[in-house]
Amino acid sequence: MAATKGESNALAQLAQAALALPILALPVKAGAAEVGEIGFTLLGYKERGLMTIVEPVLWGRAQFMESWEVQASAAVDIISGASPQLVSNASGKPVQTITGASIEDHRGTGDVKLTKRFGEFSLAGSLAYSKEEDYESRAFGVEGRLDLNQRNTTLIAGYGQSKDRVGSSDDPTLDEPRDTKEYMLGVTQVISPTALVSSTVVWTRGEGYYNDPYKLTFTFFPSGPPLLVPDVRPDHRHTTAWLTRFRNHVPSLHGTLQADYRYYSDDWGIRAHTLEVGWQQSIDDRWSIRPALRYYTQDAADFYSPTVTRPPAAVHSSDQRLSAFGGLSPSLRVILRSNDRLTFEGTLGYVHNAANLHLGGSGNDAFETLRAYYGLIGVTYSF
Amino acid sequence: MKIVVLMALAAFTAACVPVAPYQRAFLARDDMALDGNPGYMKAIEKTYSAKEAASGGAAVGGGGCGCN
Amino acid sequence: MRFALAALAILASIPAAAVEAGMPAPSLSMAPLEGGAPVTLAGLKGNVVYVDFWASWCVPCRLSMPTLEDLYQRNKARGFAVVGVNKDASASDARRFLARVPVSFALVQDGADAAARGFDVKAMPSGYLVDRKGVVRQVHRGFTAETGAALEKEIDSLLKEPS
Repeated sequence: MAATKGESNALAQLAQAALALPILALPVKAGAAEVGEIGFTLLGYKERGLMTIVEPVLWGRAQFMESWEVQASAAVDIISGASPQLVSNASGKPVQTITGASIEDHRGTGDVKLTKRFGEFSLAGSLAYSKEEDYESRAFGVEGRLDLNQRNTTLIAGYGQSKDRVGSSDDPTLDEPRDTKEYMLGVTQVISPTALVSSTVVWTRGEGYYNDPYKLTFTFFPSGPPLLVPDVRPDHRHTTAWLTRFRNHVPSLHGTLQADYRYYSDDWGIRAHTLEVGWQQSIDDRWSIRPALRYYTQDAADFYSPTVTRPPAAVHSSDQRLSAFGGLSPSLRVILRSNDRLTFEGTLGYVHNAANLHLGGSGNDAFETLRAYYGLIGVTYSF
Repeated sequence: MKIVVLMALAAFTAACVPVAPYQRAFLARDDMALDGNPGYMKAIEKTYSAKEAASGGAAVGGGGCGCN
Repeated sequence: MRFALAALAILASIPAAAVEAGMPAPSLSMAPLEGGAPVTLAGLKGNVVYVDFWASWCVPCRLSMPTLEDLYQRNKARGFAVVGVNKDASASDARRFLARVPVSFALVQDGADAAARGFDVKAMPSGYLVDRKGVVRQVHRGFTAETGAALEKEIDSLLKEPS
C-alpha cells in the first residue's frame, strides 16, 4: 500500500505523540496479511478479599510505505482495595495484615515501536513509559531480526534500558533511582508447514532501589522485645529468563497446540518455572475456543523470611511474592471473527497460588493462598 | 531440566523440513502466532507478573513495574 | 500410506528448476476455486497470460490483486488473461480475502502444490508473464507499486506481438 501525503502527515503527528509515549513487544506471525489493526481490551481482576484491578488498553499497529511498521499502545490501571503491608506474627504465626485504608491507585502506561524492513533484516526501536503516584519508568529498546533459509529461521537480538524512579505516597522525600539494562538473544525455527518453535533468553542487570517502601515485618519473640523492620532488598538484581514457545497446528483436528515454558533465575536466589499449555480449537469459520492451563512454581529469595531474624539481617523481606510457592491457573478464551474486519474475544481465568503447589512440596508455610479471578474482553478492527 | 529442553530443541531442528514460501498458510494462522494481540498480551502479563517474582523472557525495553 | 508414498514420489519427480524468463511455461491443469472445468495454460495459448501465486495470508497480495484486476479489465479485450493460483489452506480463507478484494479473473486452487512446484515459486506473491506462444517472459517476485507500473508496460508490449 503506497503512502499518500495524508498518511505521511498522520505519521508525523503519531511520531510526535510517540515521543511522549512508551513500549511493547511486537507479536510476530510467520507471514500474515493484516495491513493494520486497532483494538481495545478491558481486563477485570479480583482477588478474594484483597485487590481489584480494572485495566482498559487501547492499541494499534499498521504497515505503511511497504517496509515500515508502527505499533503503539496505551493503558490505565485502576487499582482499588487493600494491599497487605505488614507481616506480623502477633497471632502466633506470621500473617499478612492490612494496615490503613483501602487504596485507589491509577497507573498509566504507553509504548510505541517502529520497525523498518531491509529485505531479510529488520530493525526496530521502541519507547515505553509508565507513571503512577509513587513510581515512574522510562525505557527504550532496539531489536534486530534476520531471516534465513527462506524465512524458515529467524535470529533475534535486542538491547533495552530502563530508568525507573521509586517514591512513596507515605514518604514524599523518597525518590530513588533504579536502572536496568536488558539483553536478548533468540531464534525462531519453522519445523514443518504446521509447526514452529521459538526460544529466547533475556538477561537483565539492574542497579538501584528495590525495597518496597510500604512493607514492614513485625515479629514477636518468646523472650525479648518484638522487632519491627522495614523491607530492605539488595541494591542490584541480575536475572535470566529463558522462554521457549512451541506451536503445532493439527489440520485434521482443526486445532492448534500452544505450549510455553519459561525458566527464570536471578541472583536473589529465586528459581522459577512457568509452563502454559493451551489448545485452540476452531469450531467453525468464525468461532474458536481455547482452554489453557498454566502452572507456576518459584523458590524463595535468599533474604526472604516471614519473621525477623535475631540479630536482624541487613537485607530482609517478608513480601510473599519472594517466598516459595506454586500456582495453577486455568483459563478459557473464546474468539469470534464476526466478519472480515471485526474480531471479538473473551477470556475467563482463575489464579490459585499456594504453598502446597510448590514443585518439590517445600513451599513456605507463611504463604497465604491467593485466589483470584480475571476476565478480559477485547475487540479488534482490521483495515 | 535444561538438558531435556536443549535435546528437544536439537531433535526438532534435526527433524526440520524446509518449508517453501508458498506453504506458509498454516503458519500464518492467528493461533500459530507466538504472541496474542498487544492488548491481550499487556493485560495478561500484568495479571501474573504482579504476583510472581519471575518476569520477562519475550522482549526488551518494556520498562519496570511499580507493583506494590 | 502407499498413496502418500506414491504422491511423494510423483511430487519429488517434478523438476524443481526455477522458471525464469526465456523458459517455456510448465504445462499445468488446475481446478477452479469454485469448481468447474480445469483451467489449463494450453487452453489459453494465443493469449498473454499472467500466472499469479497469491494467498489471503500474503501481505503484498492486498496490492497485487486489485492491480491485476485493473490490468485485466483494461486489457482482456486485447487477449490478456490472468490466472490466480491460490495457496490458502482452505477455500474459506480465500473467500474471506476475496470478499474484501473481489476479482473477476480466473482463480484456481493448488492444494497438492503441483503448480507451485512446477514453477518453483520462491516468494509470495510470484507472478509469471507468459507470451502468446507460451514462453515465460517476465518473473515478478513480491509486489510493490513499481511492479504494477512495470507490468503494465510489459503486458502492453507482449500484446503487440503476434500469436
